[in-house]
This record gives sequence, structure tokens and C-alpha cells, in this order.
Amino acid sequence: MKITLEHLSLKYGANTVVKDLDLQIADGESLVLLGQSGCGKTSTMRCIAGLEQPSGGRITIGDTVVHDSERRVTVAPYKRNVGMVFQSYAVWPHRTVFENVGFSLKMKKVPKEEAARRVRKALAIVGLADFETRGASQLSGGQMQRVALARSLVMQPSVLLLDEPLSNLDARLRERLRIELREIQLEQNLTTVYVTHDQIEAFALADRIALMQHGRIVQIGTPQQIYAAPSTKSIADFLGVGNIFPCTVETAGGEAVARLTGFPVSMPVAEVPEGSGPFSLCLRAEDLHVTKARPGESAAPGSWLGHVDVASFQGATVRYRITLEDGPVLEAIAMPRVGDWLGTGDTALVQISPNAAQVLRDDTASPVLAAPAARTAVAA
Amino acid sequence: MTATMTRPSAPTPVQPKGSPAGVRAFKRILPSGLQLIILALLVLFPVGFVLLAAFTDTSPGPGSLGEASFTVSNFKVLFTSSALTAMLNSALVGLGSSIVALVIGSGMAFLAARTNVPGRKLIYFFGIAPLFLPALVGALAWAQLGSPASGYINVVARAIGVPDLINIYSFGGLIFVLGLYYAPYTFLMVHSALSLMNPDLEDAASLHGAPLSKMLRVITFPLVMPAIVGSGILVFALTVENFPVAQVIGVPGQIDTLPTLIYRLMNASPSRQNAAAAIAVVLTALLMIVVFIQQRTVAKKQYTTVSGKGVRARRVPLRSWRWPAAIAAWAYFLLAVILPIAALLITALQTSPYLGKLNELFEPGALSFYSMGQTLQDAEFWHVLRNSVIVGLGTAIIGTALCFALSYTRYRTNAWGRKALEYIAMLPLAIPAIVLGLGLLWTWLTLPIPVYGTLIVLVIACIAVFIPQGYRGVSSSIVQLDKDLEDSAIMLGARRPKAISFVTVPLLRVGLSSTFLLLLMLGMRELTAVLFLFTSDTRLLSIAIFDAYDNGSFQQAAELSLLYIVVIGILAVLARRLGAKDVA
Repeated sequence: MKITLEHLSLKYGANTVVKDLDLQIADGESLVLLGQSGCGKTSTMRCIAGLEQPSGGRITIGDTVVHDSERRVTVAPYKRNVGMVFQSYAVWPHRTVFENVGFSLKMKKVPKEEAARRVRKALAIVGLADFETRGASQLSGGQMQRVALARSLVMQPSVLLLDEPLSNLDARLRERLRIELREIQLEQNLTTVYVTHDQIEAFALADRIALMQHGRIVQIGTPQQIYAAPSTKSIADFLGVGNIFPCTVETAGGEAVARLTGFPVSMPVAEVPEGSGPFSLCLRAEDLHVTKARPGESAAPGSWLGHVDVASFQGATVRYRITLEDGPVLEAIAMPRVGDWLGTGDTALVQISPNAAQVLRDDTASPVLAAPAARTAVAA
Repeated sequence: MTATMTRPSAPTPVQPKGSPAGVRAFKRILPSGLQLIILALLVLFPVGFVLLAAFTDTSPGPGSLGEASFTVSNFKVLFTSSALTAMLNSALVGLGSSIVALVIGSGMAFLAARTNVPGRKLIYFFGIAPLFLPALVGALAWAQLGSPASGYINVVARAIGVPDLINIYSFGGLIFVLGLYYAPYTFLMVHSALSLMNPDLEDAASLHGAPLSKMLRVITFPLVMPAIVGSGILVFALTVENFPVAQVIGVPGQIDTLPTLIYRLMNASPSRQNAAAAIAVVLTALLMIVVFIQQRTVAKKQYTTVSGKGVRARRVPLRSWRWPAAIAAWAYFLLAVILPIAALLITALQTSPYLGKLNELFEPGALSFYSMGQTLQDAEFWHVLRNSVIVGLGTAIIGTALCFALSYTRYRTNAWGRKALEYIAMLPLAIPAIVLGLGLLWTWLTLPIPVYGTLIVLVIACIAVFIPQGYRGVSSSIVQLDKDLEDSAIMLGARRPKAISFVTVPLLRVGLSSTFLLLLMLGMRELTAVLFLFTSDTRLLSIAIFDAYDNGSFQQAAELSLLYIVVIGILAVLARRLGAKDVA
């Protein structure tokens, strides 16, 4: 069911953790709230669940207003039919898997046989068909997470909330469960709100990502939009853009050129944000091409020579740290063919993919405010 | 993953209406408000009545409130020589006995936790065993052992030609007995600090070249210092407010302390209630300062190194000191447990009330179970025992429920006034039991609720005195329980009470049952708080013992004491059994 948040605010004493937040989630959509710890994403989710009492605003699930501060209406959390998977799993260790999963049906007084049938079905969906009688304290982390998910699925929730459900699992399991989660979400056509601080997880699971900072949504869009065009420096930094340098922008002959502060390095950029700065130049590590420089080769415009400080082999990719001649230290991820690896001390030729350099507003000097900066294309 | 869950049909849009503001405010305040009223009756009213009695010229009672007029003349009693001496005595006795308790307690804790002393586990048992002997019983036993004329130790000494070996009715005696029976408090606190210490810290010192003695001096002792200092101040507070030992050991030696002075003023005829209240106010003020300092020491210096990883800490080899150390620990057990119980046994079985020479004890017919058998057949004994059990169980059941409600409100809700609840619940730590008892007497004489003279008022007194211990027990386990466990039941459609009973209470069963047993034991042992509250029909075992002593019948006091120890021992064993089952 669709969810609408209007002017949602949450205060703990004098501390405002969610500030005047507006958000619409469509029926069957998977929305990811992405942000650093303390940005208010979990608090927003807990408001939808009803575990926190918003200090202002309105929450609607489907056609039911579940909270309206103005009219002083609040539907108790147990009546909202909202499923929630907690970061700590919150699987009851003193009960069996069956008792855990069947709890909501017991609360709804579903007849025993039907309840058992539905519990088995939910356990089959999460791949725990043979675990019914197991005590919950004997399960591994991954299994507990599956029990927690089955427990929420069995109640056929209007909305499923997931609070960093994979963060306590090891990397391989996390990857597998991520895909399974997405599969279940699409299959059941569940409206989900997923909270995480891991951008990879967000990209993999979301129909749309809402990026949060300081209790506000600072950017919202599809994973592709967010990846391609972070709207500020701090968002780029959070998304793991490896190379961020302070810069100034000059427009000469209709062409915008970004000039790094402190180095004689400049490069053309396609777009420049409005306003007077400060600005940052952002280069993704994976957008840099690194090749071995031939002896005596000099760099053509748009490419630079540099010295490899560290080369860290990661299998499919190699991660380099390169100090440019007369330039900054760069992080680069290359996918060289076997044998083309550079070693520490080699001289490298670094090129940038066309239009990969982005100039973004540096918002770290003053805290981010709402309204993502509109971008203006500079006429070519 | 082929199965599909059918989604529920969309519910008809229901737009709930808000309830009127007054109802909402009432609902918000009701739970904590109710608890606040209970705590006020338990703690604030008694304190208020003590203050009232201290600053007016009438003693509180039905209809007395109207004619009370303000005065400070009650505090004149403070400047009488008896009050000044009592104050000085209290301070000196507190200081002396906390030093004795510190030396015994931390020494035993170090032996049991961190050395290769022979019989380490046994020494742990020695460290806590005296807890099962109520201080009143210990004091009575030592009165039998060390009284100047007929004390068993002196009788034995005289038989081998040493006259007047010890006199327990003295300053030293009072300090000795108090130190003996409060050492376990230090022992427990220091022992847990020593055994929970992260051994990596010590290993790091050794790896960086510190020899063992240096490591102990530079790392180990500084890390347990907060526990030692904290327990020292705690013992000081407990001994200053202790009534039974001071009454049994101090008063016969003409040593008055503040609690015994309050008792004497109350029992004077005519009773000088206002003067007693004035002294109670001073004693409470002193204790509040001490407890405040203690809480600050413990809170401020709580090093986070205590990690409880369960890794075994390194043991210090004692070499040639192994056996002397073990013997010292045995000696403590002998003095605190074996000798007192032996003395009580002899006193209870003796047929003549007076023992002049050692060999009188071995004459035929000198010892007999006859009197003990008479007591066991006495209906009054069973009546008193029944009262004790009822009061103990009542304290435990109601106290645990109340402490759970308080801890839950404090740590799981954002209810109005939850911090105030915690503050009031911890307040009795700083109110001497004798003062609280006094205040409760006046409270229930004045309030138009007829509980005075029933067992209910005794239960109320025990809960009031032990609420801090119970609250601490429950809240320490509630903060360790992940809040999500209960919230997930709510999300799955359970109402809050159902979620609490299905998830939180079962998961807290260890914490709750140990609090229950602690309150049961404490309630069964309490004398001071109920001293002013019992009537002839509602006497408890502790009161029966005290009465017997007061009437000069040491034999009956000893008999009852032994039976009392047996009852508490049975409870302790039961507690261990239940506790063990819960952990499994």
C-alpha cells in the first residue's frame, strides 16, 4: 500500500532528528532510506511503524491516516499491520522457529491448521522449510534473519519495514540475501521501506533511493540517477567517490574549466552548479584509465603522468594510488588485462573518461539545507 | 521461491478520531502517576512525618496535624552530652568497622579471585557465608562468646589460667562484630571487580616488561580501587545506621550510637518522639552525604575495562604464604560463622542459665534438647514463623512487581516523571532503616487506612527499605535486554501488555527471580524497619529474638536464632536450586 509522509518531524527533547520531511512511496515500491548513522533514517522508519511518536506531521498508509499531530490522531502500532525486520533480528530466543513465525497469526486468532499452513509457506519462501521445531537460540545469524523475515511475511503486511537487516551478516551471505530479498519483494509486490548506510545495498534493492542528512531528504531518485549525479560534495563523498578536490570554475569561451586549488591542474567540465561556491571537483576512481607510460612519453592535454605509490591487487580490479606530477594524489580502480599490471614505482599515464569530472557544490563548509542544487548546463 | 503470499484486501478507510485532550493527558500521566503515589506512601510520607515531628511540638497521630506548631527546640537534644557522644560513637564505630571490613573483605577477595591459595573455592564460600547470618544473630552469639563474666571464650581462657581475656561489650568489640558481618559486602564488590577485569590489560603490562609485583601495583590495584573505595563508603553507611549490633553489643557497654539513641528516646516513658525525630533528621542528613559521595565515587571511576569476557585472570603465586593465607581465611570463617553457631547451640541446649566454669558444661544433664523441643511445640513459635514467611513472601512478590513496573517505566517508556520515579526509588539507600520505620509508624497511625497492627504494614516497611536493591536488580537486567525483542511483538499485532508477558517477562526470568529471592531473604531478616510497627499479634522471628534478648532470656533468643538460621538456610538452598534451573 502506498505511504505518504507530510511535514513529518520528530524531536527528542531539544534535539530534532527528523525535520519537516515529505515523502511519497508508491504501492509495491521499494524505497531505500540511505544515510550515515544519526541522519534520522531509522527514526523516520520507526515513525511509520508507530514505535516513535512524531512531534509533527501526518502519516498515511493506504487510505488510513495512522498519525496526524494536528488532529491528535495516532493508530497504535499493533493495529497498523506494518511488518518490521529489525537490525538485531529480534527473534525471540525462548521460542521455537514455528512459534516465532506464527505469533502474528495467534494474535489474529487464525485457526490452528490454517496458521500452520501459512507458517510453513512463509518458511518455504525464506528457505527454512525444515526448521520449524528448532529453538530460535540455535540458529545462525543468517537463519535468524530469515526467521525474522518469515515472521513479517506471514502477517501479510500492508508495508514491510527493514532496518539494516543485513548489516550483521558476513559479506557472501549478505550478497545472497540481498538478491533473495529483492526477489521476494518483487514477487509479493510488497511496499517496502529499507534503511541502510551501505550504498551498494541501496543500489541493489531500491526502486528509489531517498538520501538523508541531518533529518532531511537531500536527494531522491532512482539508483542510476543518484549514482550518476550526486547533488553535493558530501553526497558524493558518502557514495564513495574516491577523488574530491577543492576547485574554482572559470568560464572561457562558453567552455567551463575547473581548476584545482593548489595545483596547476585543470580540466573541462560539462555542468556547473548555480551559486558562487565553494566548489569541489569529483572524480570516481573507476572513471580513471591507468596505463603504463612509455619512457620519455609526455602527457597530452586531458591526461597526466604520475607515480604509482601503492598498487593493491584485488582480483578482477587493481586499486592504485598515484601521485600526479605537479598534482594531487589520486585513487584509481583499473581493470587491466592479465600482465598489464603496474607496480609500485612505475610511471603511469592517467586519463579521464569524457564528462566524468563533476563539479559539485561543497556543502560541508555549512550544513546541508534542503533543495538540491539545480544544475545548469553551460552552453557548449 | 515460487510461493506467493496473497495480500489482504484493502481495509475500508477508517479515519480514527482523536480523544479529547483531558482524557489523553490523564492516560499519559496515569501509569507513572500511580507509581509515584505508591512511592510517596512508601518513602516520601515517612520522611515528611519525621521532618514534621522534628520541627513541631506534637507527635504525629490521628488528629494531631491541626494543633502542630513550628519549633526548632527539638534540636536542643543534639547538644546534650548523650547525643554528642552518640554522634561521635557512630562516626568512630562506622570508621573502625569499615576499615576492619575492608581489610578482611578485600584480602579474602584477592585470595579467592587471583591467587593459588589452597581451597580457593572454599574461600569464596567463606567470603559470602556470613551473609546468611543476620547481624542480629551474629551479635547475640558474640555476646554469648565474649561477655566479660560468662562469655564462653572467657570461660575457656579462665580454665587455662588467663582471666578477663576479652570484653565484647566495648568499643573494640562493637567494631569487631560489625566489621566481621559487613566484610562480605566488600568481598563481593572487590571480588567481582578482580575477576571481571580484562586480563589483556595485565598481560600488556607484563609484555612491556613489568614484573608481577609491579603489574599488581601499577595496573591491578588502581583498576579495583573504585570497587574498594565504593564498598568502604557503603560499609560505613551501613554500619552507621546499624541498629541490632549496636543495641546488643554497644548498649550493655554504655556505648550509644545514633540509632540506639533514637530507639531509647522512643521507648522512654513518656516517649520523647520529637527528640527522636530530631536525631533521625540529623542521622539521615549524615547518611545522605555519605551515600552521595559513594554514588559519585562509583559512577565517576567506573573504568570500562571490566569486560566480563569470562577469560580467566592470571593467578598470583603466593609461595610460602600459601598456607598462612589459607589459615587466615579459615580463621575468619571460624570467627564469623563456626564459633557463633557453636555458641548459640550451647546456649540453646544448656539447662542452667549461667555458666561459671568450663567443666560445668560436661556434667551429666548440663545439655538437653528439652527446651528446644518445647519451643518447637509452642504454637506461638509457629505463629511467629508463619508471620515471617508471609511478610517475606509478600515483600518479595509485591516488591518484585513494583520494581519491575518502576524499571520498565524508567527504561522502556518516555513517561512523564520517570526520572523522578528512579530518584525516589533509590532514596531509601540514604535513609536509615530505623528512621524509615519511625516515619512509617507515624504515616500509618495518621492516615485513615487501617493497616497499622496488621502484617500489611510490615510488608510495606520491608518494601520501603529494600526498594533500592530490588529496583537495581531488575533495572540492571532490563537495560541488557534488547528493546527490539518486545517491539517486534507489537509490530506483529500484540498489545503492549501481551508483548510484555510473552517476550519481556520470560526473557527477564533470571533477573526477576533472583530479585524475588533477594527480597524474600532480606524481608525475612529485617528487624530494624519493623521495630516500631509490630503488635503482639504480628511479631516476626527477628522481633521474637530481639524480644527474648530484651527480656534477658538468652536461651530462648539462641533457640530462636538457630531455628531462624535453619529457615534462612533452607531458603538459600532453595534459591540456589531455582536459580540454577533458571540459568539452564
